[in-house]
Amino acid sequence: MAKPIKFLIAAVVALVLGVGIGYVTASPLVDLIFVSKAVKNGPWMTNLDIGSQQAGPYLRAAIARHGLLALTKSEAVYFSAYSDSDGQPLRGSCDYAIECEDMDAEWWSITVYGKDNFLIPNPQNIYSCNGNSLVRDADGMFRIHLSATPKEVNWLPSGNEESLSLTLRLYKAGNALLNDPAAAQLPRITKVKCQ
Amino acid sequence: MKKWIGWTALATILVAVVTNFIMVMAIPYDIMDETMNKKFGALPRNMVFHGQLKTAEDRSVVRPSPDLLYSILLYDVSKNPIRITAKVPESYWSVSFFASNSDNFFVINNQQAESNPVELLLVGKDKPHPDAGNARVVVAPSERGIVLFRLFITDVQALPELAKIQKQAFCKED
Repeated sequence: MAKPIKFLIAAVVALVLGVGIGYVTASPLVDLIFVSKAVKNGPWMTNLDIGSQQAGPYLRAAIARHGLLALTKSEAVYFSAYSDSDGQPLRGSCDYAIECEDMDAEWWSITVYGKDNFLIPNPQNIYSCNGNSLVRDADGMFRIHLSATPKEVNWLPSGNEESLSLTLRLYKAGNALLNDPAAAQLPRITKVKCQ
Repeated sequence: MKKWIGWTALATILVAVVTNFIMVMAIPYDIMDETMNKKFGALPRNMVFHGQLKTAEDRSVVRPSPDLLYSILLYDVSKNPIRITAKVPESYWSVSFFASNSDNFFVINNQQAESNPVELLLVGKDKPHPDAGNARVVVAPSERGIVLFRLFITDVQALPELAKIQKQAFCKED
């Protein structure tokens, strides 16, 4: 085969395959880099470059997909959890206890989302708990019940979602948390039972 | 033959890397564009739209916070600067500005507001702007983007009062 024809075939193959591979791997790579660069704290993870102009293209893309219009760390720190404190994925068919003390922020909230990253429909329209609305136990701790069936206090409905995720928002977080988010005291998520 | 396969593989990797990077760079622009022109496409530019409490029916932005009252403003400073005025409550409140690539280029909260109501003048990059007066000048890195107001719902009983404060945010072209 003549050299120019070989070159043409090679160029077309490289172009078609390269564009295809680049296109197909874009989304998974964004998620992979987001997770690999995250600061981990038990089941929670965050990235302090969220919203910032210093965020690289992969982090910026991940935030646009999973948390568009997020604030920078000076205003809010966002932790996400997709698993319990034992590393098992959060599921709507299980009940969980989320236990925490006061957190290092002006105010904080925990919101539960479905697999589609939107709020989970429930008749009571309860989607989150925040430090102002929660009832504190006698020992000063907050105990939130994440479950499909109603609880008397501190109930966070999980609906019938196959998989769940939580976002912990800390507004005007303290310097200790901003300096070392991996060491901050964050809620423990314990599986109570599964159906 | 082996040499040709090697060069083709190398070229494929190079094209894949470049394509991947271009795709990733485009993601925030695409999502912002979709948000501004499809999800909120019906909203007029340079006007503050006041949202209600977030519910599961709301599909406009992923992972919304149900603890906040949101107001949104789709800005366009390609022709004129815009002046934003907002009443500041005692509880947590912030107004944040997002460029067309989704970067949060400016934010001010209730503790940082120098006056009440607070006044902000958003101007295009490298564009002349009028006398700011009492307003703080904010330079937008892109001609179009989103301004988001957040107001913390301290408790449900306070909601009517907070909604009144929320609705005192407005915008006009200068």
